[in-house]
Formats: sequence, structure tokens, C-alpha cells
Amino acid sequence: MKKQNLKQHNIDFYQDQSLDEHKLEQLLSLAESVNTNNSDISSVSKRNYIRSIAAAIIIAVSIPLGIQQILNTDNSQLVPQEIALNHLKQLSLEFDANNYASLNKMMPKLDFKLESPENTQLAGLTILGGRYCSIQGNLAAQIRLTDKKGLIYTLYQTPLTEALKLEKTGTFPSQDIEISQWNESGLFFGLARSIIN
Amino acid sequence: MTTLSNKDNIRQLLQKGYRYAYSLTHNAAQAEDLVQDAWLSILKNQAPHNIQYLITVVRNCFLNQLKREKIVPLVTIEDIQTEELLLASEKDFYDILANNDQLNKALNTLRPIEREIIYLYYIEEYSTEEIAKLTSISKGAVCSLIYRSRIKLKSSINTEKSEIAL
Repeated sequence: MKKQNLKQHNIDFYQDQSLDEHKLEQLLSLAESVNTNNSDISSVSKRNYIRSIAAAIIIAVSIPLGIQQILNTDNSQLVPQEIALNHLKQLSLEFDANNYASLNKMMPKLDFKLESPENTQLAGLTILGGRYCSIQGNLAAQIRLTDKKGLIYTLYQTPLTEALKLEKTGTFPSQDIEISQWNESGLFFGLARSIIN
Repeated sequence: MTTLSNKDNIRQLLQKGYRYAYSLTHNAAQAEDLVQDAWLSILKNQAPHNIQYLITVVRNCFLNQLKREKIVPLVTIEDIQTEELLLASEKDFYDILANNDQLNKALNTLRPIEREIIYLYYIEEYSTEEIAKLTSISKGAVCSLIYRSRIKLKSSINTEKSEIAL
């Protein structure tokens, strides 16, 4: 077995730790999607430069709102992508339960109460359990469900913050995952399922 | 679009961020989660893509996680060693021999803050002043943490060796 002095060994030890290629590509694709949005906005801005000057005078009072809208557009894919990445990981469940009431008891660190959502996409799904996670830095619950065919779904619940209120709702694909986002009972919900299975 | 060189730079940045996160958690899955959360936060806030910033965000994500789990991450560091003492005892650190398994176990006995400081000092090669700025603790406390962590690592490896010898 290789032995070496502790300083060099520490260096080598950490150099050996690395993100695998698949994970790196996922994280890079997040940057790509943000850059692409920035680039699109930039091209539009150039084409409309002269018109924008005139328009700017008129809409000066609404600049703060405009900036906010651009920022929202740039980042519109981040929450769905985060949900998709977490869904793909399929990390082991911390709590085994088949209903929300049991999960609420098992997850006391949540600063909100898990709700049984009314969204019809969840009809007929069976709860397998849950774990703590985060969405955009906010504490969230990740609940794993399955349908009759054994297809796995991941449901996220987290309090509806001001930032999450601005998130798009609806169903849209992100990589090979279909993501649905909606608000209900003061909570933000995200549901992920693999499209190819 | 992200150019190739940009892409390579981001790859290196993410790998460095991951290694730093690993120094905090000593757990691959948790380190992956931390670097993902930090990266999403950087993209969301359109923050600079540099290692100092990434380290700060990873650290904040880690502290938030500990706060949520109600774990007190840092303890008071009373013993302040001087940098001279730190440098004088450096040779001891060089002289210890260990294999990968022994080092892994020894690192696991350190607290996250100790592994973090060792990582920043030896692997990222930050000065004690730079580490103090990054971690918001005094330079004296940084020196103390490096000094103590080395002693702990040495002691842990020696114990492991004696157990094997027996």
C-alpha cells in the first residue's frame, strides 16, 4: 500500500475527489441555459437599440419592474432544473411512510406542514417515504411516490416564498424529466417524473 | 453561448468547489448536494464565477444546512498559536507517513472546520490571512486550527498504526 508524507498525501487525497462527468455536465447545462437566455436578451436589445432609447424615456418609471422581469426570465429554468437534478439522484429515503400525516410526525425540522395536494396528477399514486432537501436554499420536503406500473415520482413541498411566487406554474420538460409546478395552500409544489422509463 | 475555454474554466471551478465541499462534509453525496446548491445560487444571482465566491457560497450553504439540523458548527477556539509556532511545527506534519485508508479515517475524526482549514491551507494554498478573511475567523484562530488539526491527524494515524501492530 502506498505511503507518503502527510502533507503530500492530503493534497493527493483531495485531488482524487472529483465530481463525475455526468454530474459535471448537468451543472454545466445549468450555466448554458442561463447564458443562452442572456445571449437572446442581448441580441434583442441590440436590434431594438434606437427604439429602446425612445421607449426608455416613456417607460423610465417602470425600469425597476423591467429589470425584475429580465432577471426572472434569465432564471426561469433554475427551479425546474434543480427539481430534475434532485429527482435523478434518487437519494435514499430518510423516512418510510405511506401518508402525509406520518411524514409530518417524522419530519419535525420542517417549518411548515406537509399537505396532501389536490392536483389530479397525484391521483392513484402511493407514497413511499420522504427526506429533507432544499429548493433554492429553502428547506423543503422531498416525497417519493409510485404509480401502479412502478414508475417513480418525486414531489417537492416548500413554503411559497416571494421568489417562488414568481416561478412559472404548469407542466414542462427539463432534460428527460417532466416537471409540474403549482401553488396550493401557501406551499410551492414541484412534481418530477422521468419521461423515458 | 459558453465557449470551450469558459466551459473548461467552469469545470475546474466546479471541481474545486466540490473538493472544498468534500473537506467540509467528508461525504461524497453531501458534497455533491452542497456544490449543486451553491452553483444554483450563483447562477440565480448572476454572481461572479470565481473560486473565492464559490467557496463562500458553499460555506454558507453548509452553515445553513447545519443550522437547519440544529448542529452548532463552530466552537470557541481559545488557544491562539502564533504563525511562527505553526511554521516551526510544520516539519512534524511532513514526517508522518500514512496510507489512504489511515488518512481517510484520520480526516473523519476532524471537525468540519478543521478539515476545511487544512484543505484551504494545504490544498488551495491560501495564506492564514486569506483563510481568516474567507471564513470570518481571526488569523490567530486559523493558526490554532491548523496546528491542532495536524496534531489530531498525527495522533489518529499513530493510534491506527499501533492498533494494527497489536
